[in-house]
Amino acid sequence: MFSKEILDKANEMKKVWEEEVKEVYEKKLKFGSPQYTSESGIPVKYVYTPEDLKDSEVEMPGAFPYTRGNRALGYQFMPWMIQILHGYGTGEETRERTKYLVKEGMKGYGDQSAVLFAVDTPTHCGFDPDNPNSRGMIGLGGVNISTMDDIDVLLKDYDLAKTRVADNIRFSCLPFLAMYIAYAEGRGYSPGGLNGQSQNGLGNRCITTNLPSPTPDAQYKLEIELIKYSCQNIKRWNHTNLCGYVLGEMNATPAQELGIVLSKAVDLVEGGIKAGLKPDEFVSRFSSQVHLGMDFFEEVAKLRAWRRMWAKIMKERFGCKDPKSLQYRIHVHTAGSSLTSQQPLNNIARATLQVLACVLGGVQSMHTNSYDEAIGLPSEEAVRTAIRINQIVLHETGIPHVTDPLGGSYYLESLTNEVEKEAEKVRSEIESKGGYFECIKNNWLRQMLEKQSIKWRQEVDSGDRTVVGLNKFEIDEEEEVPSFTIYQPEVEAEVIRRIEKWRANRNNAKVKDSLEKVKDAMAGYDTVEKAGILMPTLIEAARNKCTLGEMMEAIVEVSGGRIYST
Amino acid sequence: MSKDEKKEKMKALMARFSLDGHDRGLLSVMSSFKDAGIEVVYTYFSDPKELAKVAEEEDADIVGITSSMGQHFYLASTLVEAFDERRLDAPLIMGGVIPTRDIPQLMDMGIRRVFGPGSAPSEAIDFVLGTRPK
Repeated sequence: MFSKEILDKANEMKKVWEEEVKEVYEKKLKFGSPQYTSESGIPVKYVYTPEDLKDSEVEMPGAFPYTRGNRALGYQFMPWMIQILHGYGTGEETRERTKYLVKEGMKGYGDQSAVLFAVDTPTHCGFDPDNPNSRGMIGLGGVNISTMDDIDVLLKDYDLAKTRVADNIRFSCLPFLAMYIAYAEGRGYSPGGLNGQSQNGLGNRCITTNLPSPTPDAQYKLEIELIKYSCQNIKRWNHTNLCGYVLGEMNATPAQELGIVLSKAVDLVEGGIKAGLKPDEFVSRFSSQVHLGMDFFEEVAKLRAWRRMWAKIMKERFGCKDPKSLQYRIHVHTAGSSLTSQQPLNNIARATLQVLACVLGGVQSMHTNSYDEAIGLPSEEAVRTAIRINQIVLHETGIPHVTDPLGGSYYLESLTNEVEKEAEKVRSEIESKGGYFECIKNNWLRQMLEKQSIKWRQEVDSGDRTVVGLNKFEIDEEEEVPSFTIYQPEVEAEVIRRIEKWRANRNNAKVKDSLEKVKDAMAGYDTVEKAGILMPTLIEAARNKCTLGEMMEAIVEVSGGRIYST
Repeated sequence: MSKDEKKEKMKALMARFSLDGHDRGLLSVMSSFKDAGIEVVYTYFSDPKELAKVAEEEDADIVGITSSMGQHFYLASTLVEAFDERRLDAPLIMGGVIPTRDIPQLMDMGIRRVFGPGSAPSEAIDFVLGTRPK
């Protein structure tokens, strides 16, 4: 990146600096020179110079490998999307919250609406509300969705052609997509006109939270099925969120998060090829929900390294030629695990730094946590403040006026290279062990994350890691922040009443027949090469008013699984 | 093994409700329990009656439940009932994301101690060791 003259001059100046540190700080002032490391274990120096970038290439935004951004112009042309994941209680309550968020500034690109809703765990796992497994959990952590009526409650006010619909549904995301398509058809929209996102992240959820799920082999097949169906039928659908967030919440380091996600991407791209797709047909519709923690510069470096590594892998390994396949799109969710329930207003400062890191890292979209989320559901005031953080950075600071403003920083560029190296180590280790899905099956990834979680707690307990308000700068009397809760038994009773009514108003012979067809398709789907045979049966089942739980039950009855491991 | 020998080590049954996947806190607590010489059995359950059965079979000295999605009242009421049915006297303790203002009601319902966000594992260890039969 630098000429020999500049490097020589910089090295001369660095020698003077080193001399001063040694003579004045270490000898005279007895400074102990602690060795700092980043979260990923990368040693951090006290100062960086051109020497650290002597092997680096000059890069530009909008040019391969897109380290500095996907497009020539960044936020000057298009600000990031302010998206807030939300959902609780009944569909009506969630819809009201959506309206409030939109009023305060939540939006998609251009004039698009964005509806990003969280569902409860019975919906994630595909248990209908009247299933005994759902007891006590309906409406918690998200809204319950089991029928097309439930979707209608959330979306009836929206023009679906102009609405980005993103749910965070995990294991049952195929039945949900089938229901959404059937619902949209009923309102006169064809699948090709829809736009949104599926999580399609069955594996991640099972390594991080051990919820009842299909077996890893079935997870892999279901993910490939959704990819094949959507890229052939719903061109604008983002079929897969390669989610790093849940890994970060288990204390994966930034480099581990990136390495694990890329190992999964490689497995899925290979699967898509086996299913008869060309990489350029489906690679551009991958994106990631990334975790953003407190190690400020390393997080910025991670976002830059993420784009660079993606572009290189997809170009060099999979031969992608379409620039869209190489330009990786990132949605960030600020780290829930960085929030403290102690002195909760401090969380606004944490979220602000995280939003800043995202903007300096050039992300496309962001969910910002509310300061009260370590206590309960966010209040309107707290979630409005989370939106305001984005608006302050966007409109008051001038930060978005320059693309990749830290580009060329000796430190950040060097750290970007180092994060890339560390992440590649993780990725290739997983590959050498048989790949991502194999490392789910043999529990290697789960064990790695469990170790990380326990390590974090030990560091907090020993004081090696400072968390302000938790193990340092505590106060005697915590201020009470009112937590916002719902009355769950009432929600549960209402949701069960609705599904009973739904079941009473349909042709149950048709339901039974379409579920048999789903089972037959799943039984015939023995290898990923046959991908494409399941989704049509699910869509037909959804048209015949099968519920989310019934469709998921049909899949799992054939695939096996549910409780994966202890 | 005689009953006395068996009781040299406290045995904690630690449980997660199967539809609440948040087990990061529980993993740390279990690791600290083991370091403190407490025997740990980890399980999950979807029916509170199942957990009472496991607690009886394991002859657990204490039963720890994690709840981070707001189901703590549901769990408290159904678990206390299931444990009473089997006449189990192992104290039930709870941790996770539980609002401070809900703690008195949980204790009224029969939960012996609640460790909310920010509790140190040492607090739970002291409590568990303190329940050792004299």
